[in-house]
Amino acid sequence: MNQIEFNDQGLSWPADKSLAELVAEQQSNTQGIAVVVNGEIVPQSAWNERCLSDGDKVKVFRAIAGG
Amino acid sequence: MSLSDQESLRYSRHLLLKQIGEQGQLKLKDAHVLVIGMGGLGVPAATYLVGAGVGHLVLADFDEIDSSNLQRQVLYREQDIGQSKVLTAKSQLEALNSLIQIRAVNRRMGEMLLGMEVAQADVVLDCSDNLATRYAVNQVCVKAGKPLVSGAAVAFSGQLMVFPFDRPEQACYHCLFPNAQEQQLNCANAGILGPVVGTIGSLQALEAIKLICGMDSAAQGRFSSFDAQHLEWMHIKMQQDPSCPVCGQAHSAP
Ligand SMILES: [Zn+2]
Repeated sequence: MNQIEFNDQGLSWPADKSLAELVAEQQSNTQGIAVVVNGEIVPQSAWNERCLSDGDKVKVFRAIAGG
Repeated sequence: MSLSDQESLRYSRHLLLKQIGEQGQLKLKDAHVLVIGMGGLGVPAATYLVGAGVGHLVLADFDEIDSSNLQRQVLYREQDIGQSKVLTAKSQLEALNSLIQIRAVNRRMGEMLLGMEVAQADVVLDCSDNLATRYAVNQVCVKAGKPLVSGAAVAFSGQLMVFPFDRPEQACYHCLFPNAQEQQLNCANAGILGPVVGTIGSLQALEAIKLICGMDSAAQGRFSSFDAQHLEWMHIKMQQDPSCPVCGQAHSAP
């Protein structure tokens, strides 16, 4: 298990599970989100291949439309 | 080309800035800016651009002024309730600066009209209030290679994205948020505070001025998220998604 941060909360996460799985597990609605790992955006097409290392910080931003 | 005496006086505070100066002011005078949406973002953005002397401004919206708009859309007056936003804004802004040209597009823009308006613009400001418009504007700007300054706000959150599509290999709105659905949360049901949306709209004008004057800005190619409650910003460099259906092929095509 790796220790990571998801939206500023500590979390244990298996080294062999993908970012896509993390996002699916943590977000009830995965539509319209941008995922940032250690300050860099990971495009949605790369979520499946991306695994997480100890200390990684994951943050999710949701599109807002208002104006 | 040079500035008239009247213009030199009027814009004297710009002329003192070495990053703008007379050359920058002439670029502003020559510039065409398209502002899509004249609500809480478009009002401050357009007002500052008019004040700054942007020579050609197009304001697009099809909405009418409602009493619930007055809390944040500070260009409109009680007597304007029920009137067209763009026509009211045009007359208010013409009173602010008679040296520039303002055109109002008082209708919903389909793809063709949007394409024609974007083609004439040097910079496009997305000040809209829905995702369908955001995706459509993004697509047209990618295709036309026109810089897009996109803002959004709801409740205590703001977002600013600057897409310099006049340069190659830029991430687009679709790369950032590939599958957003029309939001459950909007200003009408989640609320919005005037200064929050005003902050983002003002920054859209700032970034447009920088693009027009050819100033570098760290905001270009970046997604910025504003937490107005804790007064915190997060700035993240955007990444082009090679598989993006909107910009992926456009830029790799010969
Ligand atoms: Zn894209």
